Amino acid sequence: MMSNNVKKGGVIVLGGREFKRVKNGLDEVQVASFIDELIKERDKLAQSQDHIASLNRLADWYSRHY
Amino acid sequence: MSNNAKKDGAVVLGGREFTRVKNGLDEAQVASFIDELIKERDKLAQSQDHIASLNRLAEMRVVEADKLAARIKAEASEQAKADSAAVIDKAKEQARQMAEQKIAEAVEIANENAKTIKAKAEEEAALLLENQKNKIRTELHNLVNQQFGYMLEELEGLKRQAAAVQADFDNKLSAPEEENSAVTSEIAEESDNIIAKIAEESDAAAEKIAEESDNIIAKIAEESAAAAAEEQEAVAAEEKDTVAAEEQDTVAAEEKDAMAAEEKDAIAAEEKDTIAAEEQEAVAAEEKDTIAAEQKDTAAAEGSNAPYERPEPSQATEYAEKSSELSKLLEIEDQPELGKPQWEVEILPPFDISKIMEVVSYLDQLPEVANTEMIVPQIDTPSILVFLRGTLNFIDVLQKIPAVDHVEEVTIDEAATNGEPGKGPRKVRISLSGNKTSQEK
Repeated sequence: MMSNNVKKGGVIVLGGREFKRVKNGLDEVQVASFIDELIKERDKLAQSQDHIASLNRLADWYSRHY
Repeated sequence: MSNNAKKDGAVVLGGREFTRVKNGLDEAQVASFIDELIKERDKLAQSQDHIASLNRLAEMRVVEADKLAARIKAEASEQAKADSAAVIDKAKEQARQMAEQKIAEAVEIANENAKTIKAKAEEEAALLLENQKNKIRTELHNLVNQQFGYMLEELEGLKRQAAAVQADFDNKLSAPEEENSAVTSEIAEESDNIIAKIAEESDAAAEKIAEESDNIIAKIAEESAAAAAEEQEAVAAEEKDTVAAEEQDTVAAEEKDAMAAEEKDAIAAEEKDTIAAEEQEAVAAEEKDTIAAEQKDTAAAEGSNAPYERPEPSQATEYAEKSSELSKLLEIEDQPELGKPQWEVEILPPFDISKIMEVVSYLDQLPEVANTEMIVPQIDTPSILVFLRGTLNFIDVLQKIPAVDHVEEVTIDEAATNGEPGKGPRKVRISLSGNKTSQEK
């Protein structure tokens, strides 16, 4: 669960982005949950891409040396 | 991103439904952020899909590469096999050519060696044949001389018998007249016996000489065959290749033909001698019977006409003449050596011993001929030396002999007699008549 950082003046930080509170705004809990899911999916894909990149580097090195 | 506002105040962002609250978050900011996150997620997902497709493609390429490698490997193996087979075939062809070349060289060398060996064998065979020829010539010469010695001894014995008969005849001539007829018949009988004995001994001597000549010819043929066989074996031992064997077969065939021809000649000569001896015997028997019949008729006539009477003066004269002729002949034969011969009769082949003896007998009975001598200076040319006691047209006499077919006088080179033409005997060549008998001629 992503932590919410509440700043002064009624501004809240979700996923590293600041959001201001307004009258008749969106439910903070729901938004935070959805943003958290999206960030997890993004991080997971990014991690997989990093893993593939590291495998490519290893293959390049292996092909150069063998 | 589109926001779907519901009736009760709820908002849909990124497919998610959000409710509105009293002190809630700014919808625009939330929508913007959610939109960015969704874009990033989609981009990463798209990249992931691309990588997955690349992986699948790479796997396909790997499979194809494996297949290609296997195909290339198989093709390389087949190519290597084909190349190796071509190299092996080429090496075999080169080896075959080298082997053929070596075989041809070996055959050529073997042929040369075979020719050398064959020439050497032929030289040795010719030398051996010449040695055997000389040996046989010497043996034949000795044999002929020996036979003539025997014949001379026989003639000496006959001469002694004739002298005894002559003495007995002379004694009986001086005896009483009653005994004359008996003495005459006895003398006739003894003369017949002597003539028959001379004929028999001549025939026996001729047959013996012919037989020994045949034996010598057969011996020559056997020794030549043995020598040829030895040479052939030597050649066969040295020539072990096929080409030399063919040449050996050819030489053997030629030698076989030569041997067959020699054997055929020997058989023909033997048959010829046999026929001639038989004919000579028949002629001698016929002549002997004729003489005996005439003498018997004469004696019978004399005995029937004048039995127990003395012979008439003419008959006595005839007996006396015969006696004197016989004495004269005996005296002539008893004469010592008359010196050098006047004629040398060279007899050309083919030879017939019976005809040679016929010529010698014919010459011996001539009163002008003192003596004859048979010599064999060369094996191919026997000769008769003729010693004359008087003048004689010798060529005409020879032409009258039935056994002589052709007469040719040989002019003697004066250089051979050191410019003394009268020093050596005159030479004449005769050829004997063929298979024709004396009667036929």
